[in-house]
Amino acid sequence: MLFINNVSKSFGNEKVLENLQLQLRKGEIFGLLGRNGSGKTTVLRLIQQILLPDEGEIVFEDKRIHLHPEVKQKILYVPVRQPFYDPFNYKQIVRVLKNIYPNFDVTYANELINRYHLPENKPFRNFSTGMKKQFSIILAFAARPSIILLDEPTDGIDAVTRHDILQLMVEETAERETTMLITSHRLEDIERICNRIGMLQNNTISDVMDLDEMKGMYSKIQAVFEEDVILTIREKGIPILDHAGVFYTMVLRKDDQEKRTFLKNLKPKVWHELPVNLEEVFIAKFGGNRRW
Amino acid sequence: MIEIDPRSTMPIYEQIMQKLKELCIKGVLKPGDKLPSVREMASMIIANPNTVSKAYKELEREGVIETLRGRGTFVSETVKKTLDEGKMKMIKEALRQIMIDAFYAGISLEQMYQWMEDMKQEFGSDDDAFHK
Repeated sequence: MLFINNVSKSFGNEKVLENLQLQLRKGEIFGLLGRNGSGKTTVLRLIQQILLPDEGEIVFEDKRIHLHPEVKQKILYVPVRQPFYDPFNYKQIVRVLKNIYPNFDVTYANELINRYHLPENKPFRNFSTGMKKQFSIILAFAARPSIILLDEPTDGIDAVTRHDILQLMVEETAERETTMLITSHRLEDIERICNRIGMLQNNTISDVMDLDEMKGMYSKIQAVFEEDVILTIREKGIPILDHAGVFYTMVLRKDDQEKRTFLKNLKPKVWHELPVNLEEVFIAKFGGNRRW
Repeated sequence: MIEIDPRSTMPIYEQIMQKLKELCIKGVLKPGDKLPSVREMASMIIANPNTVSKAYKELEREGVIETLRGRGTFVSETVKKTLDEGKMKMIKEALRQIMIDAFYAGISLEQMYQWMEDMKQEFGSDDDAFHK
């Protein structure tokens, strides 16, 4: 339903995205992962046309969005902070949103605002961080868009509010098949609610995969090498999660026979293959260039 | 009733399948019992609806549950007791690991048999899957 085709974007001389390709499917929750500063927010802002791509195009339901500004009513972006809501209370914000989004569902918004005991008469700026997030997300759902872009929806809030927000998101996709693109550093939330993920690294998205498949695609290797081989392993580009004495914990793609043979040739005394979780894949993927 | 662990290395749809099967074996869920809809289950355990739907489809394929159009999803009246070969191999492999651990821990075979008997009691002895 949404295609990002070969999109590139630079700020001044700094290239942020290059030939980015991504396709979002109806009713999915897609998790965009990456280190801080990798350009996740830029991707969301490009889809919402707050930024325009230098090259490439974004197509929503067969319409190139930069030629059809009306599709913006169907795509809603919830940034980390919403400073323009600050001086207004719930009723005032709803009045504005109703004008922008003709499908805005006031009954639904009222119901959720009541359900979560969010204040109706206080200005937004006096809300707590968690309330602000919950409030912004409720209003985004009430606008009845087809795609919601959520930038760090569950980061920096308490466990109860997080539970409520995740539940809201799950119900929204289940009931209305809303597509969501979310970024987060809370990998356990991503693991819980996303069906697909993609990694943003080196200005592009790689490793787009089903979360279920990911767990079958990688192995965690625990091995014992009597000789000091850490440099040899590192030079080979095999990510090491942990290393203490003769014990090594590494992550390998199951189909990477070359690296597997390489490690086996180092004559490990012990060799255990275990399943991975998302956090381990994330560290393996993004911690690779780190000087340990 | 069902808890999933997102950090587990087991895919979430498999966790859902395993938990539901466990509830069936323990008799908490009985043949003919209605299961929550995909939407209700997703909201209850906070998981992606596509993932829940995948778990339900797999369970249906295995004959554990059945979906009746417009009425919902139910625990199958004839929960298929026949295990396919892959499953048998998997269980045998798991048992091998346990036997190795037990051997090194000095646990006798008699003790193991006793535990198996106890577990059988716990799951309900009328379950004829254990007599095949």
